Amino acid sequence: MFVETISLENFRNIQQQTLSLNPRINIFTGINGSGKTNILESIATLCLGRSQRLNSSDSALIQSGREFFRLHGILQRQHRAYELSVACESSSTTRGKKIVLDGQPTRASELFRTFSLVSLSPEDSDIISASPSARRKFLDFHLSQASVNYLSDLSRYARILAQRNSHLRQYQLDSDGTPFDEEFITIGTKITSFRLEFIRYAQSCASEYYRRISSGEALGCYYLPSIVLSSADKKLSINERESILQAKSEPEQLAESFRARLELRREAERHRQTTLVGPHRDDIEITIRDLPARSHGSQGQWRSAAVSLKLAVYDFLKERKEEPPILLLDEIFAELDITRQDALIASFAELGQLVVTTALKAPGSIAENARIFEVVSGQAQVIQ
Amino acid sequence: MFRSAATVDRLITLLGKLPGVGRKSAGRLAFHILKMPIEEATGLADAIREVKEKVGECQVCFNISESSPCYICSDPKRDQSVICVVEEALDVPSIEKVDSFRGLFHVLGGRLSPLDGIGPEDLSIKALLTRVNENDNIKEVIIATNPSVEGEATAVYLSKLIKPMDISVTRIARGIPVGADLEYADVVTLSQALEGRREF
Repeated sequence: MFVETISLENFRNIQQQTLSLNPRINIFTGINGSGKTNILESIATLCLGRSQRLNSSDSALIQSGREFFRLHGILQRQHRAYELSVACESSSTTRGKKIVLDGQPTRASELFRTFSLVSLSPEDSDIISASPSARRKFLDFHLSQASVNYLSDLSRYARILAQRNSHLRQYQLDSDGTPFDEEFITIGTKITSFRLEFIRYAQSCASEYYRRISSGEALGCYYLPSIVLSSADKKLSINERESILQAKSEPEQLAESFRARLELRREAERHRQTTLVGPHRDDIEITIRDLPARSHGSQGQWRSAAVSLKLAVYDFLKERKEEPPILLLDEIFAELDITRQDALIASFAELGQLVVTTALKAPGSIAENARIFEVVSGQAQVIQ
Repeated sequence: MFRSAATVDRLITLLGKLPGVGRKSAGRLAFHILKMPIEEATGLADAIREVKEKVGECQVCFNISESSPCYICSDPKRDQSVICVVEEALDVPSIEKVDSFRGLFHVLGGRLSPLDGIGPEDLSIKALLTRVNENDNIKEVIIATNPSVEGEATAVYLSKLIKPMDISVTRIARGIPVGADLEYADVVTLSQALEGRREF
């Protein structure tokens, strides 16, 4: 799949611009602050109805002093053109996003089902270094593209969790649990199960990418599902933990484990009046040379690890959707030393559409067949 | 928006309180009422007054009714062994349209929702339990609450209370609406329909 054309109106620092993109490689060059990243963000927002920067809000995308932004474009997927527009108004009466796919108003979930996109940027180090919630956001944003059921389970789960927490605050929790527990366990198990499937995949795939980028270092990626592992379990060695997980990987076993963990934590939930077990408390542990990356890794290692995880997600989506997602690379070359750059470029051979930004000259090997744009204060012009 | 006499303004404000009616539609309705023949307008006013004066709740099933027990509860031809539990009185006519269901109803008056401060004591759950307990004819309770998070929790809550009474508790199925083409069904509904599939 690829973006053929995109028109931007009042988006970040870009007032009006229409771009037609190369189906394969596109490079945006320009000085810092010229608006290169905003162009990447507009592509993500057009494809998925939201920014790939997971902490960004819809209204932040509107150019300051304006009341709306509008993106319009043509996407090609499996020999079919999709006409798509995404708009958002800031005024209070008509607030909210409007997504129109082939003339029909639709929801973002429809875009998640149809298209897929992965972005690599310097901000990704957060996946390794920030709190568990950053890792859960990373999982949820990408796995929602892999499975529309996962996306609907997540929103159902959020509602159940809010009701369950409210129940815990208002009533004394008895030995039966809450009326929300049955569905809480069913949906929570489905979410955990799919995360487990992805992390199994990433374990081999991400470490392979990391080995290539870092000339031989070992990356480990381990899932810490709240419905299986207690806080005592999390202190065990990786091998011991993995064998616990191995023994409980079937959905029925996961559900059983979830039920048992809830029972075990009942007293604590009664006391703290909030839900202490469930996928909203999951984490992933990333290790480099068998040491926790969060506490032991260097910034360079974090970046390489984040790139490897993102490329693993890319491959996972490619397999699930049977076509390569659109790949956005934001200033990624400046972040890596020359050997890591070359190793990364070597893995681009089988990619779909690629959109790259760089303040420097793009590495020669990818610039050859690319369409190159120069961005000056929010205006992009084709220079090659 | 509209600048008009105080009485018209009051009507607009009151109409605007109705669900699904914004200020603009309220204005349109008010001016429509102004143009109505007098007997039609007073007829509407009388209907509103009468509905509030005459219609109450059936003390057995909590359905809206002008008498208590209501016409359903007092109909001896009804199947007295089945009670269908619904959230709102509005759901009763929907299920009444189903010819194959000739049982009794029980209207909960809402669903469990701690976020809205609605607990078991705010619904007619106690009355349902007493009804089931005291009536030996009842063999089955069908729970027809909505498939929302809250409706499901209410269903689970009820089933845990009723099952120990040695009464069969069933839940309505979820799936594809009849008359809808598979290709137009949304993915979530379809996947639930697949999960709930049956063997021939």
